[in-house]
Amino acid sequence: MIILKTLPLPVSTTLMPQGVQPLTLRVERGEVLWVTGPAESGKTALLETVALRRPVTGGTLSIMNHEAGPRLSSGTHRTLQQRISYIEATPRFMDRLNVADNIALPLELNHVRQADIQRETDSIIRWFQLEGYAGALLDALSYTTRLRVACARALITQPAIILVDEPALTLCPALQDRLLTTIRGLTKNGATALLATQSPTGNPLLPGRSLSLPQASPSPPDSTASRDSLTVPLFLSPDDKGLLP
Amino acid sequence: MTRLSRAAGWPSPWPSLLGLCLITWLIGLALALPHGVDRAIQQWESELNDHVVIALPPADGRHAEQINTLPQTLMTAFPGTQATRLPDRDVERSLATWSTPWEGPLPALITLHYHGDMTALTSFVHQHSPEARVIPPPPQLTKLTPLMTGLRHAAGNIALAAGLGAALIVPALLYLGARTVALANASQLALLPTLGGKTSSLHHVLALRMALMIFPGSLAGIGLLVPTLALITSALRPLLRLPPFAGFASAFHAQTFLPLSLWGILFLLPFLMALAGWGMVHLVLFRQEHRS
Repeated sequence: MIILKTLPLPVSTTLMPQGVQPLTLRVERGEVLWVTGPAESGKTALLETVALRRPVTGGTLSIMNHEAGPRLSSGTHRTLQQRISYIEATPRFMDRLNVADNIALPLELNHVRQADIQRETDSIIRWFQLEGYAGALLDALSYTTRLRVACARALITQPAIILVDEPALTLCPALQDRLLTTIRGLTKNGATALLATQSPTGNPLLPGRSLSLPQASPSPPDSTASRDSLTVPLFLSPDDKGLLP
Repeated sequence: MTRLSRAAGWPSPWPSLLGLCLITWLIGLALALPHGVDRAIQQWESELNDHVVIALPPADGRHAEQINTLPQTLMTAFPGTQATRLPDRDVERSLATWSTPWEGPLPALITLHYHGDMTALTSFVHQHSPEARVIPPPPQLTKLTPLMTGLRHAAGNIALAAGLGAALIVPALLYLGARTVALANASQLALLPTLGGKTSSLHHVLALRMALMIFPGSLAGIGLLVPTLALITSALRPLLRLPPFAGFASAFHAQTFLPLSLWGILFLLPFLMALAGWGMVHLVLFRQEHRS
C-alpha cells in the first residue's frame, strides 16, 4: 500500500506557475495506477519518490506501512528497496557483468540459492526473448534491448511494488505486451503497479485506475500574450519566422 | 567468485604494485641501516687491537709474588677486564721478532683488554709494581672513534629521512589507490542500493582486493631488499675485515648484521601494508558514500 499526503512534486512552470504540485494519493495492494500527463508534469518525479530515489521534502509518504522520510532507518530502506522495482527511462547496469548476471544480481543480493537463481534467470530470459544476448555485455546492446533487460531484472524478484516509466511502455509493442502481461500476473498476487505514460487512457491489456498530472488546474493562459506577439528567438533568421506556430 | 565481485571495476594495478614495492624496499633499508651500521661498527671495534701490555722485570724471587698476583688484582680493581700472563714461550717468540735472540732472563708480560682511562691503570700498576711498564694499545681506536660516531649519526639521519619520507608516501600512495578504486566503482556503488544491496558488501570486496594487491607488491619489495642488503654487506666485507660471504643458507641474519627481530619486522611489513590498504579503502569509500 502506498499513501501520499500533500507530497510536493516538481512540475513545469508552463503547466503550473508555482512549479510544485502537492499530491495526495492512496494506492491499495494489488491495484494498478496509470499516471498520465504531458511531459514535465511530474510523472517520473512521482515514480522516483515512490522508488525512494528522491528525498521526501514535504508532506508524507508511507510505503507498506513505513514512513519514508529522513527518519527511515537504513535497514528498512534496504528492505523496502528489495520490495520495489523501478524500470527507469534510462536504466543503469553493472557494466562489467553480462546480461544474465545483471538480471540475476538482485536475487543474489537477496541471498537466494544459486540453483534457484539459475532457474529463475533462465526462465525470465526466455520470457523476454533475451536468450541470444545472455552472455553479452550491456554496452553492446541497443536501447530497446537494454530496456528489456531492465524489465527482466526488475521483475525477477517478484516485487511488491512495480514502477514503470514511459519508454518501456511505448517503445516496443512486443516488449509492452510481455511486460504488461507479467505485471498483470503479479498484481493478481497482490503487487501494486504504477505506470507512467503520456497517453490519457492506459492500456486495455492492464486495466486500472488513472491519475492525471498535474493535479491542480493549470494557470489560465496569459490574455496579453497572443500568437502574434511571439518574438523570433535570436538564433533564428527573419526567414525562419515560418517555423513559428 | 560472486556476481558482485565480478561487477567490481578494478584499475590497472601496476602503478600501485611498483610504488609499494619500492616504498617497502625503502622502508626496509631505513630500518636496516642504523642496525647494520651499529653492528658493523661493533664488529670493526672487536677486530681492532685494544690490548694493553704490562711488562714486568724477570720473575726472580723478589718479583715472583707480584707477577703472579697482578692479573687477579687487575681484574678485581677493573671489573670487566681480562688480564692474562703470557707463557714464557710466547714471550720469547715475541721478543725474537723484535731483535736478536734474547739471552737474558725473560721479562713477564701481562696482556689486558682495557677500554678505560690509561692514567688510572698506569698509576694502579705502578702502585702495585713500581718497576712495571705499561704499554698502551695503538692509538687507532682513539682516532677512529669520532669517525664511527659520525657514521652512526649519518646512518641515523639517513634512516630518519627515509622513514619520514616513507611515512608520508605510504598513506598518500594508499589513498591514491583507494580513491582510484572508489572512482572506478562509483557507478556500481550508486546502483547497488537501488537493487536492494548493501554498499558495504562491495566495500568488503574492494578492500579485500586492494589488500590482496598490496601484499604481493610489498612482498616483492622485501624480495628486492634481501639481495640489496646482501650486496651492501658483501661490498663492505673487506673494509670490515670480515670472513668471505658464505651464502644465504648459512645464517643470513648474522651475515647482514641484522637481528632476528628486525627480520621479523621486515617480513611483517607486507601484512601491515595490506592491512593499511584494506582500512584505507573502507575509509575512502565510507567518506565518499557519506558525502553523496
